Amino acid sequence: MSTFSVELCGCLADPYGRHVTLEEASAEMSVAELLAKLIAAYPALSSAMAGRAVRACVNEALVLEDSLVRMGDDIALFPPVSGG
Amino acid sequence: MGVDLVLEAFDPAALLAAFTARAEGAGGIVSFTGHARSTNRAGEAIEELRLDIYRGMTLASMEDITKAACARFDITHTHVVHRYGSIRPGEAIVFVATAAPHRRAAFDAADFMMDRLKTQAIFWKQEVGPTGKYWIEPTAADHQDVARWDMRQDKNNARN
Repeated sequence: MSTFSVELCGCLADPYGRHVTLEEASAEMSVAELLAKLIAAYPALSSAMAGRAVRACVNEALVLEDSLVRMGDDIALFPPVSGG
Repeated sequence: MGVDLVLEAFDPAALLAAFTARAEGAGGIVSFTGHARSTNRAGEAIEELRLDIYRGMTLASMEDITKAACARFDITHTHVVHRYGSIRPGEAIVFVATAAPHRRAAFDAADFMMDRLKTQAIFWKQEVGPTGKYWIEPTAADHQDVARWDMRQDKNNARN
C-alpha cells in the first residue's frame, strides 16, 4: 500500500484539519483521481470544494488535473486565494 | 529587493528607517502599511484576523509581484513584509516600501504591488468575530484595482 499525504489550505482544512492521508494500492495517480479519492474518503471536503476552483500544488508548483502525483510528493490543495 | 513573511508583530517605522538607509541616494522613497481593521464591511466587530499560508509558494508569489514591479517601474529598491497567523485589530499586516530616482515610479510601484498583493498573493484570510469565523476572498473592487494596471502604459510596461 502507498500513503499519500495531502496538506489542505484555507477553508479546505475546516472539516478534517490541515493534513489528511490516503492509503492506495497504486504508487501514483493523476490529480483528478486524487481529488476524487479524497472526496470519497473525506466526504465533507465535497462541500468545502463546491463552487471553488481548487488548485493542486505538487512539490511547490501548481499543476493541472492530469498531472501525476506520486507517493512521497509534497501535495497541497489550494482554494482560491484571499490575497494579502 | 526583499520579501519577508513574519509571524510576530513588526514595527513599520523601524522597517522604513532600515529601508531608507539601504536606499541611500534614491530621490524618492514611498512606504505603505496596511493595518487590520476592527470591523468588517458589514460594520460587525472583528476580533482577530487569521492569515493562512503555504510558505514556499506564498513567498514565491510575493517575489513574483516584486519582480513584476521592478520590471515595470524605474525603481531601485523594494521591501515587502507580510504577517501571517493571528493578527489583532490595529496591528500592521503588510508593509511595502519602494525607492526610485524620481517620486512617480516609487508611488506607482508601491500602489501596483499592493493591488497585486491584495488579489494574487497566496494567502487565505479568515475573519473571526462574535458571530463566528468567515473566510474572505478579494472583492470586486480589489479586482478592479488590479485590472487598471493592465490598461496603463508605463515606461517599462512590457505590454507596450
